[in-house]
Amino acid sequence: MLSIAVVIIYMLVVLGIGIYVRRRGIAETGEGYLLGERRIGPCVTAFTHQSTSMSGYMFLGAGSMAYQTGIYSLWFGAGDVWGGPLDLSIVGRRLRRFTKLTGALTSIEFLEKRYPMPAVRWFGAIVCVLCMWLYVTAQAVAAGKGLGIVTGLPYIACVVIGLAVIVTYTFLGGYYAVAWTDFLQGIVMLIGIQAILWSAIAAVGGVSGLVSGLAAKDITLLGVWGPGNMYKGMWGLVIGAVLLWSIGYMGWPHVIVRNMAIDKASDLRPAVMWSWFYNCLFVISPYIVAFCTIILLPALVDPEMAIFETAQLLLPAVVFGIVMAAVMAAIMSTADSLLLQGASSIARDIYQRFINPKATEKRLVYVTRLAVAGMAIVTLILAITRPPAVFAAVVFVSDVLMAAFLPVVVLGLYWARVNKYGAISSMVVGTIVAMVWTLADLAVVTAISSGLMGIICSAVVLIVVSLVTPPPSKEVVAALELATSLEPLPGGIEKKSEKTLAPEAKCVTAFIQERVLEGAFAV
Amino acid sequence: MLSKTSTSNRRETISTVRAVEIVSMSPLWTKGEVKKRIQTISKDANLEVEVIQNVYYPYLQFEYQLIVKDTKGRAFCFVDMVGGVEAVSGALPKTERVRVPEIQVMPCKVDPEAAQRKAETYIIRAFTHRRKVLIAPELFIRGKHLVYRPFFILKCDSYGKKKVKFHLMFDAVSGQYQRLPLGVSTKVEATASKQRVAQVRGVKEKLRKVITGELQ
Repeated sequence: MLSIAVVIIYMLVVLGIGIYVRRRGIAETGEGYLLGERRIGPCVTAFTHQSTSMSGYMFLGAGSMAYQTGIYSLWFGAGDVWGGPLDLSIVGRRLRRFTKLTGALTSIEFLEKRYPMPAVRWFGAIVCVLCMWLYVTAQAVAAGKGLGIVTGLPYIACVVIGLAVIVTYTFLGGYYAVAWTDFLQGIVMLIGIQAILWSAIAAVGGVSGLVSGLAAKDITLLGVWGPGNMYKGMWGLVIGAVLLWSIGYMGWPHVIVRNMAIDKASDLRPAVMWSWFYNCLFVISPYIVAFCTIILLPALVDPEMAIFETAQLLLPAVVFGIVMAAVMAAIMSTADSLLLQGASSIARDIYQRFINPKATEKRLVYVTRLAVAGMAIVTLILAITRPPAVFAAVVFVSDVLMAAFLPVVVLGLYWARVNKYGAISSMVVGTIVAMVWTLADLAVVTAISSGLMGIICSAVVLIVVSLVTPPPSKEVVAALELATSLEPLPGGIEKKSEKTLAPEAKCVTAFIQERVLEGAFAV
Repeated sequence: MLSKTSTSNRRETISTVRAVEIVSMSPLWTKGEVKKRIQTISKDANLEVEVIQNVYYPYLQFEYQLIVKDTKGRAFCFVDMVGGVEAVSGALPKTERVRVPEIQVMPCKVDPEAAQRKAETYIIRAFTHRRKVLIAPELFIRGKHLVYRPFFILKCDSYGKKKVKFHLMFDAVSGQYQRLPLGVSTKVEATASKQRVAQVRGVKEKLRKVITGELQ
């Protein structure tokens, strides 16, 4: 009963954040709803970045994998520790500046601004929406399973409750509400996982007890090649595992959009530090808990329940409630970002770009909200009728997104020579290779993961096609150069600049540029 | 040679440009004070600040009488006539009639009727939100004026250890400023702006009628 109360309080708080943001009127413009008016601070950015990337997978998928494969699963965790800081450092500053300069509001819109071609936008939007859909369905399944354990309610009711809460605050508050709820959820996740980690380690007799327990069960669980050395020598799979969760972040549209919403490009440095702090405390913990579960609950029927079952076994009701709230937080913080990303792509990249280019800001926000609700309904139906396996779905979607977008995002920000022809070819090839590789199970045959293969093919195609076709236009190159050359202002100039003048500054910039082109002004 | 020709052309353009009379908010900052302020904030002894241009930014200023039951009050609202952003104000700023080069005056791009609708919606929302009341006030327009806010465009060059060049726009009334990301080649935006010329002309004509009272 106590654990249910904790989860209910947690859900009421996140709902309250959504209502508060709605009342403050931040989510009433396109930029406000999709990017929180680009005024999210470094700490919140780092936490929303991490909690978005670390989904229900961390409590279900990671636990399941660690329970089944032992130390081998840490290859995935090792990549994950680097993921957030790498993305914030490599992509963050340039993406923030480029999108601010060009007025891009979604990660797919950034691609079209960088590679001016309608096909880049619609292909990117379709891949993004479909992947977000599958990903959010996996999160809904995880939410249903998680809530079911706490409340004892049937799976369907739990999926409905979980989705209803997520949709309500996302619908009301847009990105600003999502970022702040993610921040709160990140903290809850950290507290929850630490609570269960230390009680699990204590229950198995400390670290030495854990090692000897695993060795007694199966010595190969302590090796880096999996139980029975089943992955021995498969370096392709290992590199793929590390890459998937490290550089993969830079290809996920729902994650890179966090860089676009940060208050100032200079805030990215403290955001990286916060990201390190968070990852060092959080990332490896679920894997270690699952290692303890191998000893504590050796005959678990559903390995995805490893962390839940351990928490239920070891913790008092209130603390178990916090752990469950943490699990729900992990799921919800990803699901809300996925829903918003999918809805943004539907509204901004498809509706406003191709169907109704004259749509006003108000209309854009309205359509985005409708898309959030629509996606949630379809997700609900899918989660009830055809629930996908959480781990498999997350890995599949991550691979496809990474292969489709990573090379075009990273090279697009660092190399002016890559062009639109290279970009569209790279996105198509990357998507197809990653999908075929996974569906045909070629990873087992070739010992190269689908994500790694997708990235290699996609990057090669991007470089080769760009080099044999004409270079990008001067406008694109100039915008890219400006985005990379905008130096931080000296002293307190940046700090004391007035943000409320930003709309005027945008208009004045356009006005002066027109006058410069006419030859009337010189700058 | 080429640059000399283009410079002389530019001078010619500026010298032959028309001057227009506008109602501007009275500036509280002089060019000298602006330079000094930016240099002080930057804490950079090597920072050179130059005022390279003046720009006049249009706002449509509305004055309303509000009536809620037996209570009466006044409210002021400004609508940015380029970007369409609205803001309430506690009082009206001091203004003065000035003659300035037409090229320094930014053209209005927002329809004045749309601006009025925005102002009214904004005032009603701000009132009900602040007072936490459900009854929307009755609004009676008491005045409507097009006023321009003067901005200085500053070019700043730091010749210290770290060489940085940047542009700022400085509000000559409030003393606030914001960075301008100048330097992007804007062929595309310029083409788009040419397409907007007809629309802007229409708005200008409508605005003239509103101000002269022809449309009321």
